[in-house]
Amino acid sequence: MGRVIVITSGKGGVGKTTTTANIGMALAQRNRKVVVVDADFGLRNLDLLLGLENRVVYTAVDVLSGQCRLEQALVKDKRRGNLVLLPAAQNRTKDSVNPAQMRQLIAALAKVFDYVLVDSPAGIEMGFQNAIAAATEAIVVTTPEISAVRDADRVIGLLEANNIKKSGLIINRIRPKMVAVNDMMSVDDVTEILAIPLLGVVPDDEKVIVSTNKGEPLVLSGTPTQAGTAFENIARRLDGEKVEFLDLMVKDDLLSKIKNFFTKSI
Amino acid sequence: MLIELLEKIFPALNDRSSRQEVKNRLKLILAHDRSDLTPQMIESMRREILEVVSKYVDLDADAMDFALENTSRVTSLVANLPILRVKPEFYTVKGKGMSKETPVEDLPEISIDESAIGDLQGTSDLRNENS
Ligand SMILES: Nc1ncnc2c1ncn2[C@@H]1O[C@H](COP(=O)(O)OP(=O)(O)O)[C@@H](O)[C@H]1O
Ligand SMILES: [Mg+2]
Repeated sequence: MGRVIVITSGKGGVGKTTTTANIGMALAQRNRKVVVVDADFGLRNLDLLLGLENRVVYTAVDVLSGQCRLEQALVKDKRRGNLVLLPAAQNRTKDSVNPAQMRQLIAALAKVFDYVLVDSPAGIEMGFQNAIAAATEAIVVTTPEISAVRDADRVIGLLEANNIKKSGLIINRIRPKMVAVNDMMSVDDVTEILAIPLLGVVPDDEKVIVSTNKGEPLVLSGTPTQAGTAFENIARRLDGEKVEFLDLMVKDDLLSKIKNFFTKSI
Repeated sequence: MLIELLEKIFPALNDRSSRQEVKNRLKLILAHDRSDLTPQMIESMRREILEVVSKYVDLDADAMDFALENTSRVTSLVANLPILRVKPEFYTVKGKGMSKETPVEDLPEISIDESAIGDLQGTSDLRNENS
């Protein structure tokens, strides 16, 4: 039985889909059999981030309604054959699927794949309930902003209430320079508040947008990027490796040296 | 003066940074979010607890504190109710005259044997006698 992990956040736009695409690809690069499931019915995106949008024929809804077999709906990645996508329906709403159906669908996938990564929609209504229905683990994505952290906290509570005991935190879009001048919460600040184990930290990186434009997850790019390395590290940790956290803090220039001196001595 | 200037140049020196501010705001709002208590419920709890406690003691209304706190995902209701005095009807020692002090002259004298201070033999004897 493969691991079923839901990627969720409460708030929209914090990086769930980006995370799912990159971790999925990174795990596939480690030769794991991976299926990424788009559970954002009606607002499908994961196909775009993986550059697979032109090959989507059937969706999860078609499988559930008996229009096609599960194998037919799965889109295989050409770059990595051991990564496949189960697309969400774009012309349906979140209410066209229920949690019991999701559990069935995912139980079938977990028989074949090492990892089933479920990309959750924003919110905590039906779409979220569907996404977490079959999961036994969760990755909670947040940014270091007040509203995202608040929503993440709400989601962590709901995950616990739904008996998903194993959750890891990803803090996305951190901007070390802003943290250094005390205009952004630090990784420690956010982890202390949310009080779940930290799985990884991803810096705010323009390369993420470039990779989205190309439909090519950052972890595939030949030249290493900060965000790409961060996602690779997360995949390794998920896979049981012990990997140090990236040192994202800006290197001490003279100004911050002076600042530190005064901060310590006062 | 110098400190103020430094604070301007290096925001890390003061706690009024937007980072500290957002942390404080978050901690407060999360304590409420996590408890699932509505402000109305907290207010009526506060009123009822005060009613009960006030039957027994007079409270210092100005120094009272009643808040939700949160550490590591556990919410607690923390009430700080400074007691001014116990209500007279609940004094544990009642009765006439007892509140007045007996003059020292009326009490029996207590003697002390300076040479026997610290005499352990004596104490152990005493203990044996009592047991
Ligand atoms: N680390 C990052 N650096 C820069 N931009 C990012 C980063 N992570 C996500 N983004 C951008 O934020 C937007 C929302 O990301 P997405 O993964 O779609 O969020 P969600 O799935 O949570 O709604 C996208 O435009 C994406 O390119
Ligand atoms: Mg998304």
